Amino acid sequence: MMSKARITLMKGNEACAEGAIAAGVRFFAGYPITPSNEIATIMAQRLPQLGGKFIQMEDEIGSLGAAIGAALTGVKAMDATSGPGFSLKMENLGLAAMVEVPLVLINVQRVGPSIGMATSPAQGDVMQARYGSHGDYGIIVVSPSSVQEMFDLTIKAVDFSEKYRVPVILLADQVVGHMRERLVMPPHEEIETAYRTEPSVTPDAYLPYRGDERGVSPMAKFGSPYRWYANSSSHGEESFQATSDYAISEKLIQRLTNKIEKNKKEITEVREEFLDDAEIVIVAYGCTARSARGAVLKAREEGIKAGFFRPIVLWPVPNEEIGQVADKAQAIIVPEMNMGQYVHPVREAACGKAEVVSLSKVGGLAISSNEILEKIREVVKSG
Amino acid sequence: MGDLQEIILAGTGGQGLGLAGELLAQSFAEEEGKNVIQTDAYGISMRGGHSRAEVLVSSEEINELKVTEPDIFLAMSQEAFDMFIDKVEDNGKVILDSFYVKVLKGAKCKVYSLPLTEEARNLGRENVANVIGLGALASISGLISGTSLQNTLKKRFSGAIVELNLEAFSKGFVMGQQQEF
Repeated sequence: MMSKARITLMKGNEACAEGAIAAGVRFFAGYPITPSNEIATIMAQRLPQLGGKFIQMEDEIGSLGAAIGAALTGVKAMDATSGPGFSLKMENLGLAAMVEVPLVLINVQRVGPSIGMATSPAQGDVMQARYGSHGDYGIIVVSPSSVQEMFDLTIKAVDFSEKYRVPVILLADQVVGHMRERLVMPPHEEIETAYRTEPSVTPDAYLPYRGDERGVSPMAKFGSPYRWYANSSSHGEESFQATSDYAISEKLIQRLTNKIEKNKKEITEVREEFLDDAEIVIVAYGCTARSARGAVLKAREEGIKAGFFRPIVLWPVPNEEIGQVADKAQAIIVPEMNMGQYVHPVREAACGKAEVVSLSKVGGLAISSNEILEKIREVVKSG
Repeated sequence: MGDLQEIILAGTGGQGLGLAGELLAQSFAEEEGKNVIQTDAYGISMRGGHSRAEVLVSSEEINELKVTEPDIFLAMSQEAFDMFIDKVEDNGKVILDSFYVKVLKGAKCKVYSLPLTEEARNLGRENVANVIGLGALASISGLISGTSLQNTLKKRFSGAIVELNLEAFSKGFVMGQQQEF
């Protein structure tokens, strides 16, 4: 008998946990923090029933460390946090990037800096998600706008992490994490998810850090006959320390960054609407993309040729797609709940071909469609 | 935009308006196949303080996050009434709990003043006033069928509690039907 999709009203955070379970995540380590807590609560209930493991660690640093350890043994692992917790993750996020550990880190953004406002939404961690840990590395950041996407994009994040042997960040926000919407969950057996490539050579010939044509190396499970070192120091293809060989270090850093940049075509996902004749295009992500689409529809009713562009994958930046938008449009508006972060890569991608305007809002309130509409009118007037 | 309806349920913490919003959203989503966005707003205290639930419902994609101009407003405290009454659409509908809301200043739309809390006390449980309110909201607004909400109540509760809630719901539903439109 065919099993049917389940349709339920659910909170974004609950949908995220369900997505993780559907994607095969069987290890969760975390430390409680609002507004991400529902994710840990559900994982704590569900994972033991599925033969998985949940552990609440002593702090945020320890929990990402535990997720890294679990992922190295071959299990799909996840961690979730928010606000100051995300800052604490940065050290181990760099470790995961350096030793190329697939895992998913959820950040349900709240108002900062520091403790800020625990229960109010923000989009202030956009740059930190990409560049928060020291040194150069590549990373993938996805940005959900709905409860359905908290489910779908968590699965996608797990997929990316396994395909590219990289930590992936699901950059949600308090609005999307806490709102309830209708969620359609397909039966788990219909959900296909990636799993890292394991080595096919003999253990003697295994090179854990030799990238294939995509820059990604096969990954052996810890505890298997393949012996290797998850080395956070600069290391060669065989995983041994190489801290005084500049050529090896150069090659490693370039591969860590390029395995994401070079595969951008497969990773990029955008939503584009009303762009054919658009003179003013709104580039928005996360919860703000919802009201941005509303503003575009309202502007169209007023006869303004407005368009909608939404990067679903925030990092790597879809420069080519934004460049094409800038070729045709006169102005691009980037509304975001921060002092202006994603507006910078958008401006770089637009490369002076269209004026790029920031619509910034901070303090804990979401941006309404009317506020974006007002900005559209203002830009039209200044023409 | 489209057939979007904005609903706000507001009162005091402890009256169960968060739950009422969830029951309403669940009925729209699971029983009627509609798109909904439901959010809560409350203070840090368990009882007392302003509390509200917002529900956006549409058969199309929803492009708003919050209620800005309510079409339907269930007010269960004077503070909540005063806070939102001037935002309600002119052709909107306000259902209020006459036990708590006495001063109807600022209303420019149709107002239904109903004894929600008194009726709940008659049923022996003041805390079902929210479900009586939902019953009245269903019949007065016509946005959702009574059956959908009853199905949700049966899903969410069991035993004596479901019986009490179904009774409360039908009390409110009938109360709404008896109003002049």
